[in-house]
Amino acid sequence: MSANYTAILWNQQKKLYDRYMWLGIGLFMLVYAVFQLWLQPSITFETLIIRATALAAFVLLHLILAIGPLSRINPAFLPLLYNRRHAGVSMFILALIHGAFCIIQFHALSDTNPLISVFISNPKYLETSQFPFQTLGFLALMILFLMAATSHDFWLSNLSPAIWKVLHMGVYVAYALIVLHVATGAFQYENHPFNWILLFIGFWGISGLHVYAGFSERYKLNTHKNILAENGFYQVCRVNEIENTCAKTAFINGENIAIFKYDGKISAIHNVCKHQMGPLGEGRIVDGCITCPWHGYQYLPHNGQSPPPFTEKVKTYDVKILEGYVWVNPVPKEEGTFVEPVIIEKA
Amino acid sequence: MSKKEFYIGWQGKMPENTRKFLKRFLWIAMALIVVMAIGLVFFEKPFKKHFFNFGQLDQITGVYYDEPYPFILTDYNAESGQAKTVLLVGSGKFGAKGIMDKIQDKSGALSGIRITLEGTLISGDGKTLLELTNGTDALKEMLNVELIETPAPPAPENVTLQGEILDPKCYFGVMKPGEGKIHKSCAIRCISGGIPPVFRASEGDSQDERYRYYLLLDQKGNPCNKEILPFVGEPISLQAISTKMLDWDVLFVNIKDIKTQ
Ligand code: FES
Repeated sequence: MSANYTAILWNQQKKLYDRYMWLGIGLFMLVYAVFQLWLQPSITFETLIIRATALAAFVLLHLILAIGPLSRINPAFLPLLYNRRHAGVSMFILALIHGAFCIIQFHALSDTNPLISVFISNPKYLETSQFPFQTLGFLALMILFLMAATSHDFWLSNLSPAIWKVLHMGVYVAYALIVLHVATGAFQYENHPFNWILLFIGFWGISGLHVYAGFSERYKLNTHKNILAENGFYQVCRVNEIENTCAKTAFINGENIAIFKYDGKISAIHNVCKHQMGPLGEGRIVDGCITCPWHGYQYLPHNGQSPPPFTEKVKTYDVKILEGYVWVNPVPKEEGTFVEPVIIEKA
Repeated sequence: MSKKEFYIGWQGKMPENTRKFLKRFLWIAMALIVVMAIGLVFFEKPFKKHFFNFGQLDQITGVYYDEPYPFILTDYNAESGQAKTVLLVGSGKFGAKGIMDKIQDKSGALSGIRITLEGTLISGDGKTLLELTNGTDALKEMLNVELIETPAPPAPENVTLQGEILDPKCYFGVMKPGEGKIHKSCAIRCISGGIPPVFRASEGDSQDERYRYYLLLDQKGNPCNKEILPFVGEPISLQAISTKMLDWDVLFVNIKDIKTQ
C-alpha cells in the first residue's frame, strides 16, 4: 500500500501463484512442442516459437479475462484474482516474444524498415479477406505493453485508481484486436474447424461469463429506489440479515455503501477499495479491519482509514438502527471521518 | 462470525476448502491445456516437404546466366533437352542480382561462363535454389566459357490459370509455411527485394496438392517484381502467355490481366 517505487514483494501466495501459472504455460508449450516435433518434424525453430508463444499467450489471456467474472460468480476463484497482474505481465512477455519473432521473420532483412513494413507491406486495409492482420496484433501488443509497464502499484497511485482502471480496461480492446488478428490471420491459413470452434468457444465463453456475472451482480445489488426514507436516512435491511464480520451493500442516490456488522456494532463505509476499486462489501472484518477481498487492503470500520503506517482512506456514512432495521444516510462524510459505530441492542 | 471461507493473499495459508476447490480447478485446466495443445498440432496443415540446408554451405558448378534472374545451369543434355537450373537468391529478403553485379564488377562478366558458387541450398517439389549466404564471397571458381545452345522454347500458348504468387525462397524451403495469408507480407518483402516471383498453379484437385510452377515476367520478358506486389500471397487468376525456359515454365503477363479472386 505504498506509492513509492518499491520492488515487487513476492509473498508465499504470490510465489505459489507464479509457480502454478508458469507450470501451466510450460506444460502447454512443452506438449505443443513435443507433438509438433513428433508429427511435423520439419517445422522451423522460428515457426515453433511463433506458434507456441502466440497460442500460450492467447489461452492465458482467456484465463485472465475469465478470472474477474468467475470470482464474482464464485468467491473460491478469488485467489486467482490476487496476483492477476503477474498473469498479465507473463501474457505480455509471451506476446512480445511472438511479436518480435514475427517482425524479424517476416519483415527484417528486407528493403524496408521492419516496423514500417508491418503497416505497409500488405496495404489491403479495405478488404476483409486480405486485411493486414499483423497490424491488429501490433496494436494489441502496444496496449498490452502500456498495461504491463504501468502494472506496478507505483503507477496505480500516481495515475489514480480510476484512470489506472480505465487504462487497464484496455485489455478488452486488446482482446478484441487479438481475436480479429487471429481470425483474419493465422486461422485464414490454419482453417480447420477445430481451430474455429476453439476461437468461438473462447470468445463466447468470455462474453457469456461477463454478461452472466454482470446480471447476477445487478440482481445482488441493493438498489434502493422504493424504500423508506426519513430525515435523510434510508432503510436498508434487518440487522440480522447481515452476517457477523460481513457486510450488506446498498446503492442509494449514487452512493455505493457497505454496511458492516462486527463486535455487536454496525458501521458504514464506501464500498470501493482505494487500491483497484475492489468491492469492500464482499470483504470481511479480519483483526478488527475491513479487509478487501481482492488483495487484502484493510480499513478501520469506524473511520474508513487504513491502519498505520498505511494511508488509504475511504468515505464513511452515518447509520442508525430503528426497530431492528438498519438505516443509512447516503450523504458521505469526508474520507477517513470518524463515525460512532451503532451498538446493536440485544432484543 | 461468518462460516464462509475468506481468502487473504498476504496470509501464508489458503483456506482449506478454497485450496481443494482450486486444486480441482487446476487439474481440469491442466487437462484442457494438454488437450488443446495436442488438438492444435493435430489439426494443423502439414508442412511442405521442402528443405533449407540451414547452416551448411554447398558448392554448385554450372553455367551462369544473368537474365531474366541470376541462375546457374548445372546440368544440360542437348539430346534430350533435359536441363537443371538453380535459381540464385541473396541473403534475407533480397534477390541475387545485387551480389552478382558486385562480383562481376571485380571478375568481369560471368554470363555464359562455367563457375562454382557457394551458398545454402533450398529445394522442394523439383525446384532448387541457392542462397548466396556469404555475399560476394560466393564465387569460388571461374572455369571456362561454355556456349550452350539452349533448345528453342515451345510455341507460346495463351493460358488462363488460377493460383498464388509466391516468393520461391521461402516457399521452397526457408519458411514453414511459405504461402498464403500468414506469409503474405513476407512474400511481398521478398519479391520487392528482387527475389523472382513464382506463380503456383494448382493441378488436379485440392486434395492431392499437385502444383505447376511458373516464373513470372512481364510481357516483354523482363522482371516485374514491383508491379505484381498487389497480387502476391492471395488467390488470383491470370491470363498470360506461357512458354518454357530450360526446366522452368515461364509466364509473360500483362498486369492488367491479373485478377484477385
Ligand atoms: S482492490 Fe486491491 S485490495 Fe482492494
